[in-house]
Amino acid sequence: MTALPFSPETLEQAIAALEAHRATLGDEVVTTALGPLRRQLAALRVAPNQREATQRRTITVLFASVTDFEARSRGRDAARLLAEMDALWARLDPMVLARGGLVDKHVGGTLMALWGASTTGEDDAEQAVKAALAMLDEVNWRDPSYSLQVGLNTGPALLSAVGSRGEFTAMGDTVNVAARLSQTAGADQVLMTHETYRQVRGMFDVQALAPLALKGKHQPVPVYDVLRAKPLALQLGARGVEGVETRLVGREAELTHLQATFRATLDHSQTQAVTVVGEAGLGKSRLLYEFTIWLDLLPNAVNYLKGRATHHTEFAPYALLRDVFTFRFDIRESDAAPVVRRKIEQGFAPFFADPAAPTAHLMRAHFIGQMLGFNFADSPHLAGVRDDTRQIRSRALYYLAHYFRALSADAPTLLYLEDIHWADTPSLEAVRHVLKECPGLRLMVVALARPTLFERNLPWAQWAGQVPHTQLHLPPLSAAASRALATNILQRATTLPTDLLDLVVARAEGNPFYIEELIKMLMDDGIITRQRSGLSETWQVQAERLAELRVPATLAGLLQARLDRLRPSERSALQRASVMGRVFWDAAVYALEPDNPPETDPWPALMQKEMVYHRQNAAFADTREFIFKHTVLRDVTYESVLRRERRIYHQRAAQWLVHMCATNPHHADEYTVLIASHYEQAGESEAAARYFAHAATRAMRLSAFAEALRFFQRAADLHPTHDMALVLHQAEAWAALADFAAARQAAEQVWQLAPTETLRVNALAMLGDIATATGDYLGAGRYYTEALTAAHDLEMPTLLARVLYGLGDIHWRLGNNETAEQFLNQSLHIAQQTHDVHRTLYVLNRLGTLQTDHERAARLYNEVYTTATRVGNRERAMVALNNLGDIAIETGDFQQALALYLQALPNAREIGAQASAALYELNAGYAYVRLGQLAAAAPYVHAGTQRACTVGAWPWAVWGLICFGHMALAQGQTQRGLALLGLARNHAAFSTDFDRLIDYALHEWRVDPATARHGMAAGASLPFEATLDDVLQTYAPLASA
Amino acid sequence: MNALDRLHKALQRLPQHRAVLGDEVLATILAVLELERERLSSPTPAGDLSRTATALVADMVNFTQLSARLDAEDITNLVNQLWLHLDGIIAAHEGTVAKHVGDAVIALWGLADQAPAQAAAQAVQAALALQEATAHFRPAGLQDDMPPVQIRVGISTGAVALSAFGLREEFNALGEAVNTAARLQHAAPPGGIFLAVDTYQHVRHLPEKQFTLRAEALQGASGERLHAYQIHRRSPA
Repeated sequence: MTALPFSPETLEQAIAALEAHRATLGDEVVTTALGPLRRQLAALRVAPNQREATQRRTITVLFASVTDFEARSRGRDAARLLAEMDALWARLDPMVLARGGLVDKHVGGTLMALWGASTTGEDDAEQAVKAALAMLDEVNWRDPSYSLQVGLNTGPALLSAVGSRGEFTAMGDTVNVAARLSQTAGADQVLMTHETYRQVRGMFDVQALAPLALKGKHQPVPVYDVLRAKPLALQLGARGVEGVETRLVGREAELTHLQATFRATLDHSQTQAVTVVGEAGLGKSRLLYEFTIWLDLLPNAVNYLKGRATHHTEFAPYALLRDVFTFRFDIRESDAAPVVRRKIEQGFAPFFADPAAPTAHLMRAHFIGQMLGFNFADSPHLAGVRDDTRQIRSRALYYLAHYFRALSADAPTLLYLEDIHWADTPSLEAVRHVLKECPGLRLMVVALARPTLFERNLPWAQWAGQVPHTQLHLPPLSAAASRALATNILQRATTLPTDLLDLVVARAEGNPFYIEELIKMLMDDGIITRQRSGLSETWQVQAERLAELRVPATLAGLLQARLDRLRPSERSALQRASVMGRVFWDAAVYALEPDNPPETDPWPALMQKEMVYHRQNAAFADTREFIFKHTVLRDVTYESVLRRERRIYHQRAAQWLVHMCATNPHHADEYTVLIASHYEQAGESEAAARYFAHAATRAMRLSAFAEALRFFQRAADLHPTHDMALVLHQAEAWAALADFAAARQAAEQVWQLAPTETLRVNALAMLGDIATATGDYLGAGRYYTEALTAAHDLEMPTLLARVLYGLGDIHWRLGNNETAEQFLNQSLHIAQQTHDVHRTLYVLNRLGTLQTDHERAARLYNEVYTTATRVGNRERAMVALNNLGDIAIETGDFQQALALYLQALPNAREIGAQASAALYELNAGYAYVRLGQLAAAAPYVHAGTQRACTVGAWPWAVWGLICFGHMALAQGQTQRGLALLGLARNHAAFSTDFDRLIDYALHEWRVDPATARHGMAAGASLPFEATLDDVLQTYAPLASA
Repeated sequence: MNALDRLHKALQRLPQHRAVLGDEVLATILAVLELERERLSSPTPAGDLSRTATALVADMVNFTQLSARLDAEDITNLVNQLWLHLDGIIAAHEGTVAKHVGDAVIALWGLADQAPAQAAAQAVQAALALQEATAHFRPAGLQDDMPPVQIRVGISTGAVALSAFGLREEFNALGEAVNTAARLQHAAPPGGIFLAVDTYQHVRHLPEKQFTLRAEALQGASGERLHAYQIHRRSPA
């Protein structure tokens, strides 16, 4: 079809005008004219897509098939059959077009239609289901010899021109499922999938069928049979989670305001208006619902009138008011014209009764009815003015005001106008007229609108301002209110993992509708499962699957509709921004399409439409930094970017960031992970791996070992590394996190495979450290000695200092204090000469532990603490704190010791140093023991021992046993205590400085030497692990108390 | 009253309501209706008469499985690559691509001046060429562990009616030949070609050295017996 000089808006206005004046123009003329207009409109709707080529969108697909088409056509003349089918399509296609759909194709006896293919409407699914029902009616009524079977599905699809003919169509699983559903349906049956059902819940009477097994689907698909549309008055919005009643959360102030306004209306007979403004899903309808419930509980009867505007009716004159009276007088879509007229007459009559003029009530009703577009063209009362629309309008408005006066004299009256951002202008002007003429009534108008109301050239505030008018702006819910709402919806969950709440609250960002939809999605995806037993129902959460959370199609559709209303230049800028991430920079967005610089600055418009916010203090000079208003909006926008474009964009995003970081050195490290992720998305695994490894090394420097390992892992997954330096770093991270087995394996790998001697010696030293940490002091000695020679030969002072320290350390542990001090002093000398702060800290600390003089030791530790704090080394600082604690124990200041241990503990937990955390827990427990507070000691000793066992830090497990032994002695369980102490002393990881602690315990509880010797000897032969388990079991209840 | 008369009447009536509709709206409506009148008054495009033609339906074998495993974008690219490739072969054999439906293509021979026998022979030659091309088709995006792309082909000769329908001038072909070709396609093995008896009649005299024919008895959709012939290209001796 040739391109025409019409805009879609012009055509929509023409169609709306014809519909609105059907009464005046006559059915036949209107029907004749509508067909070509709708076809033109549809042609325009297709065109932009064909220009823009391929798109990813969320769509609703309809397949309608003539039942038994093949059998019916057998033996028929092909030309007659074709003529018959063409005639059928000529009648059915308009049912699709009239409801905003696109006829995709006809194949034999099947019609395929799409909603959301060019622009997404928020009610696409609803329109598609209505089209399906209308088609069934049409066929049943006009061609009873035929019957149709329909399948509907909603979901993501790819739209593009295919094949040599360039036919524009949708492809993908979403389409296949709809096609199969139509084949499965019986005659006169409309089947829809759960995804479509979700969007139309509450609007149709449906029956859930047994899930259907479909070809190509692993799991049976839940299917619903659409029976009929619900009567208007019974339709519920598709909001809320099935079967869950929630209380109003976070909107108490707004509700109170509505209640106060209503009271003012009553008390002063003063007409009032309130406009509630808020984004889709922020709870406008819910607020109105709660207000209505409150009104229902009042003693006086109330008259309700309510109407809702939709985006289809923006250009349809009086559509909103027509909806108000359709609801008020219970007019149904299926009502024949005479029935509609009778309902209007009867509805208005009681309020227009005039004894002086017996037919006046009919005349008035007819004028209003005619203005609103109900067909009163044949009314004798209109005979003289039928073509004088101006007179009809002014008289109808006059009677309308009269009606409101009479109605509110009867009972307080509420007029609800929903979604007036889509309201047609004449309806709102009529409301203004009523307000102007009736300021002193018991009438309250409540209008609901999205902020887009203010984008329209329409002075609503001024119009409503004929009477006292307030605007309530609904803000997003606070985090606390969001959490309360989510908890409320999930009230049947047996346990509520914090992860789940955090995820839902974070993703929904204060939008209650999003909260509900996200939870529904979790239920649909089986992450929350429902169990019924009898009448009660419980929900189970599979927390480990939380990462799979998708954007629900309902939200995708809602946001897609907003994206569709953007100008193409704004939309493409936003799409590129979404590739950068939630936070992005204007210069980066331009860099993604270097050949296509924007003609105009898209950001002011996007900010005004509240898609993005500007952020102060952009990270990069000469850029503007923005953030997507909502992470779900970012995700939906990103989903609309074609995958082949994503790759290129991610690549350019990475390159842009690399360039910016190179020119802004203070950001050099900050964006490493982001760069790595972009490279990963671009499919450049090697570059991605390099940046992840870089990020890991940086994390190591910050002692963020767990994070470092995660990055190492991602790097390794992308690109297996043969870089032994990286493997050694990994070994170091594992050792720091007390995963000694993994650390040893990695270090051995480096020792055997490293290409340079330097790396191999470093690996040896690492193996020595690991052996020490696991209590294998002899093994450690062998590794260190071998490393020592090599480090000498290679002239590696840093390594030399480290190995010497390691040797000093094990000799100290084995009780050879003099040898230990010699090694340590050598190490300290080299470390200080080479300004090796790190090593200096270690050596000073160990020398401190060797001192018998507490003051000298404390001086050394304080030096360590100060230096470590200055250079930001939390690990060494906590070690110093711990050792100062040890001195406090020695000097008998247990309170001070406890304070120092408890100060060290959070540091250890924070940097993920499990073995150290275990030690500090045990030490804190021991301080409590010494303070005589056994009950307070138990949880610490228990936790520390457990942790030491879990990570295999055996020296500390042994220390735990000693603490338990001490506690047993204190409780008078002498034999038990002695056995534990004996067992500890016999363990390979027993360190001689523990002897003093054992001696102290024996002395404190006055155990005589002979008893001690016997008791401990008996303990030495106990099985270590079993006994440890037993002790942990015994103390578990005490620990948890 | 036919469509054109109704249109004339609307064109006469509508200007009387200028006051109600407004100048701009009326102008739009009238312009669109004028275009429609032109379209309806011009001689009927592509006559709706039926003729004897050979219909070929080719369908991808693993489409559903691939759709579930691949991203929509990949599957569309893949199918598009395949159709562009195969559409070219159909055109080279003087066939007309009527329509693509998801993973299937419908093509016709005998719309031009070919004799029915010639049309059938061309369709069969095209089918063999389609199978050969598909066997060598390695699309980008297909992963190694995925099944190779294969098609099934069904061919039938008989009455076919054609129209260019609807606002997008969609090419509609109906007739038993199309239905039968679709059914044969469904019954054919992956990589295979099934001919209906009517097509077989036209090609059985073709040089034997090119291909072999084998009769198959099938169950039709409603349980009836359906005769088909499977055709193979004779491998070079």
